[in-house]
Amino acid sequence: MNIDLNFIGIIIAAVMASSVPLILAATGELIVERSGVLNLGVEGMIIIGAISGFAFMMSTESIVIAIFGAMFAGIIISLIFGFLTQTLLTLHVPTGLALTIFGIGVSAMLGKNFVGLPGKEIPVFFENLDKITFIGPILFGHSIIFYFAFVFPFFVYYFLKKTKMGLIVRAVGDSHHVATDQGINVILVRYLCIMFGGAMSGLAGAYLSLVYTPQWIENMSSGRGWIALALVVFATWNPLKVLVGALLFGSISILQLHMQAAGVRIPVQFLSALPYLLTILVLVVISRDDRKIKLNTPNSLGKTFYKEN
Amino acid sequence: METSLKISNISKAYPDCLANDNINLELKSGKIYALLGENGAGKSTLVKILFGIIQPDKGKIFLNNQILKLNSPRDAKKNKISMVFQHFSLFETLSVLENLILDSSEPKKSLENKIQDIINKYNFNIDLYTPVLNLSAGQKQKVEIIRCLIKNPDVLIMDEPTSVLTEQETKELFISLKKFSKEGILIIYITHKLKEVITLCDEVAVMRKGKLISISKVSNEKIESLANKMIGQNLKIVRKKRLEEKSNDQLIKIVNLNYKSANPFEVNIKDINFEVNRGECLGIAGISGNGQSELFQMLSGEITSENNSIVFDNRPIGKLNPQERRKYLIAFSPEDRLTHASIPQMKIFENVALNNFKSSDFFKGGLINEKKIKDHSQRILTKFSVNTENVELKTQFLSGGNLQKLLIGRELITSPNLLICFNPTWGLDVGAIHYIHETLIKINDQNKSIILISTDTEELFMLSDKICAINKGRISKVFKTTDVSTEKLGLLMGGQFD
Amino acid sequence: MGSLIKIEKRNDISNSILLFSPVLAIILTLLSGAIIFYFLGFQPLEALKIFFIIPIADLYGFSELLLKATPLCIIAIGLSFCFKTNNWNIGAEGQLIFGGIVSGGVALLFYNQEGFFILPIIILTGALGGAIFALIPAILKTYFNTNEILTSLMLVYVAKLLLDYLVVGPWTNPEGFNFPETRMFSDSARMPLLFEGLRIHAGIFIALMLVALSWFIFFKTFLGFQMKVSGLSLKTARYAGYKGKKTILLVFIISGACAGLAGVGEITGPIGQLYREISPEYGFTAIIVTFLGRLNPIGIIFASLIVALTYLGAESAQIFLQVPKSIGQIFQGLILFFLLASDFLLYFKVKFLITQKKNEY
Repeated sequence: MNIDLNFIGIIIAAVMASSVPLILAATGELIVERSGVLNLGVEGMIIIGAISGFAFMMSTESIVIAIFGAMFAGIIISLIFGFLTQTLLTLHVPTGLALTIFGIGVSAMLGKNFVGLPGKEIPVFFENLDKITFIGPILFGHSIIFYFAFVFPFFVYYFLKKTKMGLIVRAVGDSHHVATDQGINVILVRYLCIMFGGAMSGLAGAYLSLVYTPQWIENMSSGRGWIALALVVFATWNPLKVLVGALLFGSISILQLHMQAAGVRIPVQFLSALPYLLTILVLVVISRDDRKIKLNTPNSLGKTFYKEN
Repeated sequence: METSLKISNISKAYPDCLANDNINLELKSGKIYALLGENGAGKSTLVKILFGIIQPDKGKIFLNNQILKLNSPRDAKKNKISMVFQHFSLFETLSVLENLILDSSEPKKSLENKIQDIINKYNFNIDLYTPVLNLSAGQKQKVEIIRCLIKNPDVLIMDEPTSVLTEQETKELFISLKKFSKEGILIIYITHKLKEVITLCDEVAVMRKGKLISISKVSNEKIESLANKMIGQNLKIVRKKRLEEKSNDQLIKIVNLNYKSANPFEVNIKDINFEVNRGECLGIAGISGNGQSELFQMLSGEITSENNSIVFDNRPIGKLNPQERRKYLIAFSPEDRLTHASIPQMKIFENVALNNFKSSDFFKGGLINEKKIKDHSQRILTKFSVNTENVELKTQFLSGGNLQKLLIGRELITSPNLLICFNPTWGLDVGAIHYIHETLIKINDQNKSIILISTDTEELFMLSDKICAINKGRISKVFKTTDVSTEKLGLLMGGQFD
Repeated sequence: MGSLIKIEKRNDISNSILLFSPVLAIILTLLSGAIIFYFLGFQPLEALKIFFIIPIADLYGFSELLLKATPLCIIAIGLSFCFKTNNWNIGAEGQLIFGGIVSGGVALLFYNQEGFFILPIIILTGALGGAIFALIPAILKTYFNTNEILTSLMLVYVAKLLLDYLVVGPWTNPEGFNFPETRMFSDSARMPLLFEGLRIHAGIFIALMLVALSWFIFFKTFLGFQMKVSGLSLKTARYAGYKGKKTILLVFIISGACAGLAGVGEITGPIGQLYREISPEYGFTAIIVTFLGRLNPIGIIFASLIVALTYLGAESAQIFLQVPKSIGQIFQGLILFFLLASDFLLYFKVKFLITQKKNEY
């Protein structure tokens, strides 16, 4: 049998590439949820990041400005959510939904003049090495965001487990009342986490419009924000498991694309529905263990916090 | 070095009461001071002022003759004042060590050594790496105490520390507190338990309705004298006429009741067996968090079980939900009045409609019969002397005592054969406690039965004919109350069943 | 020195503020709309007029407003059952589409037949389809402990893809030159039009009936009382003996059926066939309507009219100002933001302490 190792390498690289936005957005949201905040606006923040990144790239031709611009835009829009839920004490669920609707609207508005424009060339690293059989396409010739995405969950893991700041985030998510008693500024911590989540969703969006696609298409996040939210539950709030879950979803997406290309006699739409059906399946399997979910869910997740004076 | 703490002319008013009325106290290290008073006497307000949580309207505090400005707990900690709260202030899912790290600016390694020293010195048996939620109440309190000791405090305030402890744990705590006192820490011990004052403290300050009534040497006091000072009147003590002969008319029987919870924050119920006869009150003692809440919910039907594990009047009811159990004239009074037994944002008559008993006709044909519910509610308000006549009033505006009268009334107006109640007087003032106790005694007199789950042993001794204790979801043998001493009950509550 | 603004929790929520906060939200939305238009380079008042007034300035425009408000109102009534009991069904869009698919399939069966019985069957199957689709997240929530927000949302994508498959595949119009659409339904499968020359149809009566019915259920029945209790405290509902799982399944069925009915109204009303985009995201927009209407049936009528206007306004703005239609979604997001923010006044009193401070001296 003739197995083309290089082809397998390319497929694995494709899987990894398609999981990048999921890793970034889910890990960002993981920090947000660990601090006790449920931001359902991930989809909206990703799409804002996508258009901002693309717009900055087209106007400045600087990848650095484009990336930071997208993250900055993510932070700005996440601050709307932060201000509403933390300062005006609104319910997390509807506020997050509003953020998604708003983000999709704003992105389409901003993107009016960018529709159909081809994306710019993005610098990649170790371009010449990607000819190496198998590991070449996997390890080399990718953008900076790609590499970042695969080390990022490890950083977040270390941050949560080993640093005092991470401990404070977990403490706030465990109980905002106790945290207040201990003199922790709960609202400040949560604002910072929300902004961090916004930045990471923004970066995920930038990856879509600058690297993955690369152009601006309305609604191009196509549910990735929601899948990222599901991944956080799947990972039981552990960043390393987010990595695993994202790769799993990446594989399904790539698999169905290849099946479509190979002309498998299953309607395209059914294949395209696979990632969404898989999300449901995975959620069901993981949620059946009630005890495990309860032990890992941040205790104060989604609860509005009001500090009595 | 000697520490002295002087409280001078402290006053604090709230819109509805004067919590502290010109309090003056002088305290010195080497002694354990009791701050004695009922719920609402103002002792919590006073210690919260001492710990910087509340700022007084008037008055000054001096530490070692220096004026002390306390704007926040941080200021208190800076001045080496520490406090252990009645409700633990710990992060449940974090480990013991992580909890302690959070409150300290020391590097992890030296902190860990320091904690280990404290643990060795006072024989605390605590694993630093286990999540707090796996600890017993006594261990959690030790974590709180360690957190204070790390800071080498000069003043240590303990707020009703024994309410969650077993007899054994209480003894251990007292030993530690006496050690701390010898080492020169000034200890302020807040309590409403008279016996503790006598066994532990050197001096006692009694508070009532925001005023400091007296300060005296404990050696000059007796339980009775302290009781009179604390309550302010010679309340006639309710005495229960105990059944001379044991009735054999069995009403409810619990057989091998078991519950394994999927929720790690709940307690599993293991092989519970007991029976209650007509006209009897069975008391179930226990330290809170030992499965009382789960047991209550199983008896009420909020958690269902094997059908034969609960037999009422010879009929198995384990699978029935609370609504169906009410049809058999069983009534339930949960511990938590505000989130369990009622909904504060709803009106009185709506809360009354929650007990949709068999003959109520509150919801005939699926429609709300508002007139019927309101008339019924009016009757409860009158019969159980609730201090309002307005059935449209939201229950959030009722005081604790009036709310409990309403809720107990809602359950009792149907003259149930069995009342299951859980901490019925928790957090109430003396008058309301008195009223509830009298009501419960009346039920027994009418040959109706009660299962009384309570963390208040005095209440249990006063009301129950038979008594047992619950520990980690298991229940001890049932004794005649007259055959059990406080010490024996303490051992049972601590899990020493034989 | 203390802060000059003090925030205090209200003990009781006054009815006037309950009404006032949606009004405030709308005013704030208009203000920020003016600012947005200004930055887009338009004369703000003129642009607002184009967005909010021009579309409904004539009879036709007003009838279009009612046409768009109808599905929003129907879905929002259903969602209010869910949201009142803290069940976050956000997949109404999928339930609408699935209801449309099922009833559309039935309509296609009768494509060459006429008869008074056809429309009622279509309406019933549409409601049934929506209800069945909503039952999926409900069952997953009650029996598998799975978060309904995520599952109901994922199913929206599934429903969209299924519709896409059907209209390009098996159900595509054999005489349709491969356009992604089905045959036109027969006249008996269409909602009766109310006026000659206007698109507004009998679906509006379904909406009004549902408003009345839901009002009755919420305020006059045991079921409504149980829902109120469950929404305020699940623990108390269990204590009272209300069947929690049954309630969850029921509210999902109701909201799914409503979404399905909205789907029927669309395909048998203005559209008359199945194609890819039978709903301009009514299912999502209705979430905003539900909140803006305060989960109250009467409130939902007004809210659906206001939110429907953002659809018409966006079209009008597209024509007269050449801005993308997505401006409508921006306004929808803003309304919800401002509504939630205005609710702050519901639960908290803001006190200015300046005068009090002075009195102390």
